[in-house]
Amino acid sequence: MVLDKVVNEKEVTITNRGMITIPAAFRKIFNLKDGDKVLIIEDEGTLKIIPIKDPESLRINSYDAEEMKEEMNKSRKEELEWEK
Amino acid sequence: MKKKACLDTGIITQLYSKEPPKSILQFMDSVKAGNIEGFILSPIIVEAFYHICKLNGKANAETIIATFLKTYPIKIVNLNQSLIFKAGILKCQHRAELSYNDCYAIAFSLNKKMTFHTTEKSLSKILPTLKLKTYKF
Repeated sequence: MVLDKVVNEKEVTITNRGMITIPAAFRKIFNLKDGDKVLIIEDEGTLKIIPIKDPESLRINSYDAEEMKEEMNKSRKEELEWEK
Repeated sequence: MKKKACLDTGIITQLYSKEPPKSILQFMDSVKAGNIEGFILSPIIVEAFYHICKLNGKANAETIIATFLKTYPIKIVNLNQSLIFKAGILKCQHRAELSYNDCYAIAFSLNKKMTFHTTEKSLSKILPTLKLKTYKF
């Protein structure tokens, strides 16, 4: 089984100042660069790192405005139908 | 005095779409610059997460919501007793016209006498006294 091509775990050490290094392979996959910010949150007993991106880069592969509008209208209609 | 605005779900979801409406971009630029003080009810953020997650997946929803909250100086409002009562009355009065999240956000906007910024067109007919800014695109 070839595991080295799939990067999905990496052990890192916490320094005496509480710092860790995000491994280069993950930085590459998630396009994390010097100066970028990440959010660390608690998630069911684990810590999760969520990248903070610039809005323009988020929009590149995002959904269509119209598609979202239709999805929200549909969802709203369904919710209100329950009350009829 | 600085203008105050309460944001609806559609503002966030449209802001991160491929081609966000210019009017929403301009409004959010004013919030970012501090010319308008923005508020958002916590369940509204949950709804935005849900819709983005449904169309773009969980990882994207997490990144978009985290980026949104980091980028804009928006105050997150949690439910309190006065909001629960006001929202509850609104739901009783308009149960088939207003969603629960509509009721929370509208209750807050009415209590604080601020403008509710939304993409939902039907609200002006339902609540003529509510100060509304509806984004059409």
